[in-house]
Amino acid sequence: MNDVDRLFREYHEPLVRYLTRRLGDRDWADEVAQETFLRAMRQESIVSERAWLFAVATNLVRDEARKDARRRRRLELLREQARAEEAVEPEPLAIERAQEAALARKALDMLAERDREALLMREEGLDYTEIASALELSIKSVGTTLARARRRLVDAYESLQHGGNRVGGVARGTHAAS
Amino acid sequence: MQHLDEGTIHAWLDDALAGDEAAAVAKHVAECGDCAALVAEARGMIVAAGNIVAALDDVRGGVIPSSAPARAIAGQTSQTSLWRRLHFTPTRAALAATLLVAVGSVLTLRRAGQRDDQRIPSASTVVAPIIAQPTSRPSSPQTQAQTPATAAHKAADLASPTPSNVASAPAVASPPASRASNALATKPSSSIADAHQLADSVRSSTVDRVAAAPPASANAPAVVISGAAKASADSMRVAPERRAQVTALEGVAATAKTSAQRSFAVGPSVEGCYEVRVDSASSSVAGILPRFELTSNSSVRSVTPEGRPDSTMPVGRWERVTPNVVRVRFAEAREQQPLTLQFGSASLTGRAGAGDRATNVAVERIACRR
Repeated sequence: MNDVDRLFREYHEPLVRYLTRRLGDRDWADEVAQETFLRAMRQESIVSERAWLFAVATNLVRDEARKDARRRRRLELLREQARAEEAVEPEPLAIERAQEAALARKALDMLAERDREALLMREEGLDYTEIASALELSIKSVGTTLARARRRLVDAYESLQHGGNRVGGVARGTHAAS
Repeated sequence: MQHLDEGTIHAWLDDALAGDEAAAVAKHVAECGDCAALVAEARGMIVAAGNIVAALDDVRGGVIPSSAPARAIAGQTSQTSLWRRLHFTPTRAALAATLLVAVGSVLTLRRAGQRDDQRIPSASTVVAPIIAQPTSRPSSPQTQAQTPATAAHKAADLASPTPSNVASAPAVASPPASRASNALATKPSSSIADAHQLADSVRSSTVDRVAAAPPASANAPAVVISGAAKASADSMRVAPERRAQVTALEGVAATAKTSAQRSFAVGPSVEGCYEVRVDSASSSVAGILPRFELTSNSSVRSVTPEGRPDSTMPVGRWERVTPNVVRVRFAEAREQQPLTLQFGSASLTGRAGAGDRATNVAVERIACRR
């Protein structure tokens, strides 16, 4: 594909950010993004570029996550151990940010996969049509998916923050259509 | 029309409905108090979720730690606030602040006595930025009212009513940010209760513009801050920036059923959309975008005159130079001409160029439209 340079310039940064948020690992995100762009190079034509790239990246993550979950987890733990050993006394603000990031990560992990992906795509600026295309949803259901994802994420974050057991699923915000 | 379901509300707020459907929703929201409340709540959810997602970006490089390692680094549970870790209670904070102000006042008066011809000690301007230093992560129980506030700028964006809101949904339309910020300016310390009061004052729309007088502590000269006094200064850092930047989601706090909406309704932010006006044809400001958006990722995107993301989206970066100064660099395709934005207590000024070539430019915050 001739346009791969432009594709890369335009979408690499948001794609890596999306993947990093999704995976929690920048290196892994870079790998997946690279593979995504390689596939784009082999593609003769792409109709909806951003949706296509995010869809391919999302599928790669799903495939790889299934295959490599244990290995990845082990590497992650090893890396965290190494970092903890070499860590100097962190600044209070850094601690707090790390805690917030950890809480956010945990809350995000509590979402259903599709909800999580839709939300992260939306945060990268994908519109409803692109999200529907990337996740093979109907456009009508994107709003519902995002509403649920946002509510559950906030609920989960709050629960973790306050140490309670209440997690997501608090059905409110809608009243019966009459 | 039937009441709105949550998915439709989110689609409407995300600007994903077709024109006629969006108009019907706007009309219904304007007429239906229940649905207007749900819209306000959904706005809070959108902002809150965006903030949480943005919090993922705060740890750079390598694996973003999961909660367990983060606790290991912190040496305690994530529920333990820094406030507590510092053994710093509100009473001690108040005491420390009082001491700081008292010491500052004594030194100020002493200096004033020495120099009758210069009534305003220069030290006050020196220390003001120290105290005015914004923290995107306030290290105190204030965190409850802001966390995770990394993308709290979206509150400002979302709080800005869309045209349809303005036209037909006055119940959920937000008041001007300046009014909201000034409402908070009268309350230097933030808390959930403050957020409530803020929302109340915003709702009643009776808060007059408050002159941006410096906080009492801003009069303190440049004293060495240590121990409890330093912690006190930390705890106060949020207030001055909020004075200028805080906005609120109208109605959110009033209708909130969980603390989420209260927690995320306010927050200091330099992120948002801006319009630059350059009167002269100076070449030193040649590369500056006339309208742009600062995002939570420290990137810069161009926006249309209406504040919508531009389809061409030239990318740039911004960085904080000092607590209230941000340097913006625009896309590579343009001349690498930084624009320096200074966030004062009540206004925003800009200066572009370098050294002698720098030129003052008028910068105005505009509503971002999604």
